[in-house]
Amino acid sequence: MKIAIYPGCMVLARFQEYELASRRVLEQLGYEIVELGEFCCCGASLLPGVTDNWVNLSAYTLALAEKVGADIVTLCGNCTNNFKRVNLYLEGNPKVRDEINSTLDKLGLVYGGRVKVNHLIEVLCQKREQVAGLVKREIDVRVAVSHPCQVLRPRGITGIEDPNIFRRILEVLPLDIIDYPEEHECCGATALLFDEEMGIRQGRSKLESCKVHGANLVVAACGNCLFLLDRLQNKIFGKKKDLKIPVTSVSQLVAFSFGYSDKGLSKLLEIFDHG
Amino acid sequence: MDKPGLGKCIQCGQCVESCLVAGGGGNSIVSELNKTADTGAWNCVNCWKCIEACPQDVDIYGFMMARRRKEDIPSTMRQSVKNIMGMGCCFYISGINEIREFDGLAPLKLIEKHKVKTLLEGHVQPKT
Repeated sequence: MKIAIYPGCMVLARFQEYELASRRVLEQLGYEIVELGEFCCCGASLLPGVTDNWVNLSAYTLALAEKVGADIVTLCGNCTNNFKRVNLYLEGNPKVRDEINSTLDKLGLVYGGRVKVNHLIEVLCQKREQVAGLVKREIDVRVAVSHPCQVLRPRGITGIEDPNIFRRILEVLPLDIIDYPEEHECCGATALLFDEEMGIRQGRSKLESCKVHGANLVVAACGNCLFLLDRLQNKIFGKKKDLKIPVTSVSQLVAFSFGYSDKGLSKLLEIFDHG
Repeated sequence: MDKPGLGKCIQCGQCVESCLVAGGGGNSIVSELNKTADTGAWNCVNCWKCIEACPQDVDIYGFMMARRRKEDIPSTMRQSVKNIMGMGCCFYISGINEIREFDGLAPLKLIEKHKVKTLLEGHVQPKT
């Protein structure tokens, strides 16, 4: 099956190891990964409200995927939500489809609404039996899950009924999953854009709870969650370095369990590979 | 999707209860919906717990977009919007293919600026 990986702006700019591991994992699962040729922002959460034409940005990427006969696998929540939203706008709404296509036509493209969009955790959850069969390495780790809000909600857009699909993947890996009260709370990353202190406070609250409840690794499935929970830990904890906790992406964890040892995945190797 | 409009809102406050921003003492779109503030449409973490919490299936997303059109974009967000318009990416990216090569990833081309301009000059009025 042909897929195109859409990393999204945050992963593209800052989390190459997440993209790399996602490629490794999806290749192992038998997907044929094709390239779209060009990257364009999905419109993000910023442009809706600035312009209704944000949908054209998502439609552009969807049209590129349709042209090469691929479905899209996303790595971030925001992009997933936007692409699915655009597909829903088009569904049964020929006027919107015509309007979008009149713009795409200027760039030599057309979009018929045929590209399925799934976030990586949807794909891995569907394939979890196959994932379980590919595990080659035990991981002595107690994982806290940070669910990507926009992959899961609102259900009318995402089409996902089970809020624990991320957990379902980790359940087939040889590791322990801890429970903590804030598991389904937003990490707060987007708050950084309008109230940095609020974002930092929310990130701290989540990470502290993970640690208090016994986790020694936090796993996320969105570039924005990774940015706040991993990259901003110095800002979150300041000089209290003992409060820090490693954070990684779902695909790095899965790729690690599959036995990959790429330099891009070395962070996990350093932490857990004592062999 | 057919969703009832704001007239269906019964001011039950479930959305406020679910809101991270409101819980943190800020004003968000649900503050506007519940008439406790008249700004806050841009203060959203996009977790969409409010939409799931609403017993009346109010189109909170649509309301938020309508309100955003009337409020100024927060200054902290303007740079991201400029980046999207300038290079098709929320972040300013420089030397991306050197980094990708180092990490074992194939090079990638960002969309050309004139194409972003064309896309954002289209005529779409989607139903939110």
